[in-house]
Amino acid sequence: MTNQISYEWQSGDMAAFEALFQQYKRLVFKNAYLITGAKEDAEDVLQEVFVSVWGSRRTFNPNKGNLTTWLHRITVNKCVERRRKKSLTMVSLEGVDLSETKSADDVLITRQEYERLIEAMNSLDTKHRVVLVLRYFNDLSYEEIAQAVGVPLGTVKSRINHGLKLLRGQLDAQQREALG
Amino acid sequence: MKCEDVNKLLADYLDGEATSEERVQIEAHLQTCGKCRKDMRLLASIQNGLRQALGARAARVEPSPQVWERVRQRIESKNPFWEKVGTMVNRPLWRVAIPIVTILIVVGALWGSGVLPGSTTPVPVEPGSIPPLPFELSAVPVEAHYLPGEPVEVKYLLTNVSSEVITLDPYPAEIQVRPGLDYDRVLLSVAGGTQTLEINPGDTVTQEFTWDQKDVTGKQVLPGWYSISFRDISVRQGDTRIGFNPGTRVLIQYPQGAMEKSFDLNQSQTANGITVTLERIELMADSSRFYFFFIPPGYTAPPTGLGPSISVMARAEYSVGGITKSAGTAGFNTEDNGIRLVWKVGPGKLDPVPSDATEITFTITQINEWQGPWEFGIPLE
Repeated sequence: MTNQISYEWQSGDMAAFEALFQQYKRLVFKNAYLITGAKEDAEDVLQEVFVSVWGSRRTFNPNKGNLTTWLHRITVNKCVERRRKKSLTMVSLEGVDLSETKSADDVLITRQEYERLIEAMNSLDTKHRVVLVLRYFNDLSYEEIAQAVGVPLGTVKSRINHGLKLLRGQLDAQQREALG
Repeated sequence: MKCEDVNKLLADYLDGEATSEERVQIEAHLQTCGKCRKDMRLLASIQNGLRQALGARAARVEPSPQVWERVRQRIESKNPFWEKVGTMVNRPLWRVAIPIVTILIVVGALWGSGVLPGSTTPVPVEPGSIPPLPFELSAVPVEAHYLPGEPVEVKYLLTNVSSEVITLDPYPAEIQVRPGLDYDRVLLSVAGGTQTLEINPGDTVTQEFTWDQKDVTGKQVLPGWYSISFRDISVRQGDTRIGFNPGTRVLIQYPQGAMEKSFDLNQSQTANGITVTLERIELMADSSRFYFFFIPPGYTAPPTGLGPSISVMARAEYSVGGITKSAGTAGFNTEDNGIRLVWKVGPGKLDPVPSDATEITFTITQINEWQGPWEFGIPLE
């Protein structure tokens, strides 16, 4: 059985903590970016998450919980705090060129579909964005999402269901607009 | 089941999160209800589009290299004196240089504050606006690999992180072992108990299970992915009751190893007037993946992006060495001239293929309302 993570950072070893940061920074940053919708906010959240991880490192017990779930939970909380302080940021599509992002695993939706979905996502509130990002970007199961977000399983189900319906409503509205 | 009930469960169904009973009822309803079938296709297209849009968006950004330095500075400025010393103690030079008396003081401070093993500190909940659960629940390992015959040890841990007693019911929970993508087939079931357990604040309850890799008849199971779940655990605090089925995914590996190769192919099969082309297969140490392309009758690329017609529900199975397994449902992408199907994306993986396999047969049994089979024999030389 594989056990790939060293927990020396928990006893205050800064080099081990930097290794942990390097290993998980992209995961935290990309989730924060998708939830907050802005690179600057995502960088701030990344900082806050790891300062918080360091501050509560002695409370994390690897035998009691999954490190990734714990990181997701802190990331979500930091994003929620941040979004509460600011009004919703509408996200520009700066620098996005889908033609450069196609790979065997990640193929082919049109730029128009992409823009419409991202725009629709941006219209959702944070609690719905969070569960959709955890499910459809991270591929977490509903139960893993419940643990990461700290809500009951039933709430995850209803938020995913409602979030998808809101997206559908937004897409329908966009389509009606486009058709004049 | 009525349309309204089905509608509430469609996302669960498509995400593989519906119970067996719900799946049967939903599928029975879908057979007779065109409106719900249409709703399901639209929902599937939104889920699929969302996966791609989020993935493409995240692929465009990287954190700046300066973030670590900022984190380090904030930590250093916040650290109280004894924590800085604690950090230094971990470096070999300081271990030698610091007088023993100082180390003893630091060790005393660390023990009292819960840094060292054996000390106990209640687990604080990360502050935030989302109301925390009164407990933490995890199943370990989340995912692990074993050789045939090796004992598979799994457990769940439930810790009361609230300030009030919580009640766990039943204890121990029933345990079920199922094939990775064949959710309805229970290979082994171990009955649970009927005990109700009260858990005090800060206490942890564990249930362990060692699977000998045998099914209910006592036969060693074949290599592949399996899910082991603790069933219908219920936690109650006051008037609130929350149910969970914590589970783990384990891969029983081939003793001879897995084949790790990719093949670009161009095989086509036609059934019911629909031609499907197998383009590529990727065989990996822990899974395998199959890419297909087809053009539905009258297909035109959706002119205004996601529309109600672009949804695909395709099912398949595959055989290696005479053993047939379910491949579940495909992920799909719409393109200008047709639709690409991919088995398998998402948390469930297809099994790897043994290194000495000579052929795989992959059979698509159904694409939307069109029945197959589209059968592909793939030589592995």
